[in-house]
Amino acid sequence: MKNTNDTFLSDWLADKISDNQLKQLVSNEDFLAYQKLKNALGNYTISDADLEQNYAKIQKKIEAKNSTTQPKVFHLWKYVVVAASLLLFFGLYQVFYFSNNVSTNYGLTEIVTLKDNSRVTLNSKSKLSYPNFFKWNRTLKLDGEAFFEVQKGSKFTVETSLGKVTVLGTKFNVTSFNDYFEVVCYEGKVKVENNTKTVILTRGESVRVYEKTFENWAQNNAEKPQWISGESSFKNVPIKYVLNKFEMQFNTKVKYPENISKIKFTGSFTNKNIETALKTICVPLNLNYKINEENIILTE
Amino acid sequence: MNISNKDSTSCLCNDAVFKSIFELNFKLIRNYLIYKYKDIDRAEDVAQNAFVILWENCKVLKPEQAKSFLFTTATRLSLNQIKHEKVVSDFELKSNKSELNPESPEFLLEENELRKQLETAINQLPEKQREVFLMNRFDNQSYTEIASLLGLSVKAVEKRMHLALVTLRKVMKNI
Repeated sequence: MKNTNDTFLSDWLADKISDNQLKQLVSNEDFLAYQKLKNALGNYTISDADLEQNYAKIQKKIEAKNSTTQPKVFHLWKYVVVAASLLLFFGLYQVFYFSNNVSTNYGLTEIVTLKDNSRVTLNSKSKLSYPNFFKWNRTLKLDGEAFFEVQKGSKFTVETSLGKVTVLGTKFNVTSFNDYFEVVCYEGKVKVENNTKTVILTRGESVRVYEKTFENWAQNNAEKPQWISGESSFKNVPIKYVLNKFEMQFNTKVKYPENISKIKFTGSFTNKNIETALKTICVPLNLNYKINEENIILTE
Repeated sequence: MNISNKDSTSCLCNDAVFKSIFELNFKLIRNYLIYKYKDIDRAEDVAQNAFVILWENCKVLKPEQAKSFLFTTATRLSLNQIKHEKVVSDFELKSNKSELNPESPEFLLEENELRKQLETAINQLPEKQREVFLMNRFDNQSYTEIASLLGLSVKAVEKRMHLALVTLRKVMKNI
């Protein structure tokens, strides 16, 4: 049998076959030699290991590894992961949200054409941010005043700190300065939301929020706000906000008696000439003005 | 084995458990490496390193996995470390009887002669036969155990045992 031929000696060493069985397979001389070898091997071994010494060496090697490379590598790796994920998060945020910023200084306006061909005209001292992928996410942030001409398409949202304006395709003007929030609709329909109220404006309608006042009125049939053609116009607005706008436009400070701040003003002033503008405000309200180098003083 | 408790003391990271694993296995691994490479210093160094790696992985390994992990690791380490320097010292045997019976000077002489012959013969065995043969003969590990530790089939172990004995017999003609 080939099987046993291969391994009969190992079977014999493991006591799987007896001495007699082995004798059948090999010559007597061989049998005696194998037996002698088996016995002799049983009398020997190799030198013993010094277990204590070896254990001490292992402990030393473990200690050496712990105190040097391992913890440092681990910590660095951890920091790198945290830093990378923060960077990635910040990067994505930058790419998808408001990575384009446009701002105007005193007395200047700027026209921004967006990727979807919507147009935004930014009034003076205003700031607009919008995302890179504007076509898929038509959300803008505004601080100041701007006139929007929106192309038809997905939801178009203007966010300000005071409220939110949502439209599909239309023309409208948004003002958001300090605590004054005004939306005028020139075409189509817009939805205006703030913390407390939601209104839908149609063509010619306006809404205004300041302090605790919430006003909703129908305006004229103008095609676009007057500031686009170089005039600031107001309808029934407290003089405080009018003068605020005036300061914004001409980069100046206006001082006026506290008791006139709530007087409502209807009219407009030019953005081109400070003196003419001042006259158009002061004459109907019966106020005197004095232009100094760093400010303007109004008196009754 | 005294590691059968189910609480935290059965974790390999526990010092006492680790030590008992060391006591059970260090000699076997060190001897295996000596049979393989005939170099005691290197064998002990590699065996120590295998235990260091076992400790580093003590959280993911169970105590019953330790032995085969140690053998695999030691084999892998020794391939890296011992291969590039094939300086091989000769194999030395010692009698495992606590003291030799001083029966007669002739007996001692014969004994001495036999030991030398055996050393030479074992030295000449091919590495694969020697490691298997001595693991079985000197450390009493069964064929099945050796097969699983070295990743061999039991049949292969049996063949190597057989061939080793044939070779020894040939080398020691005048036995």
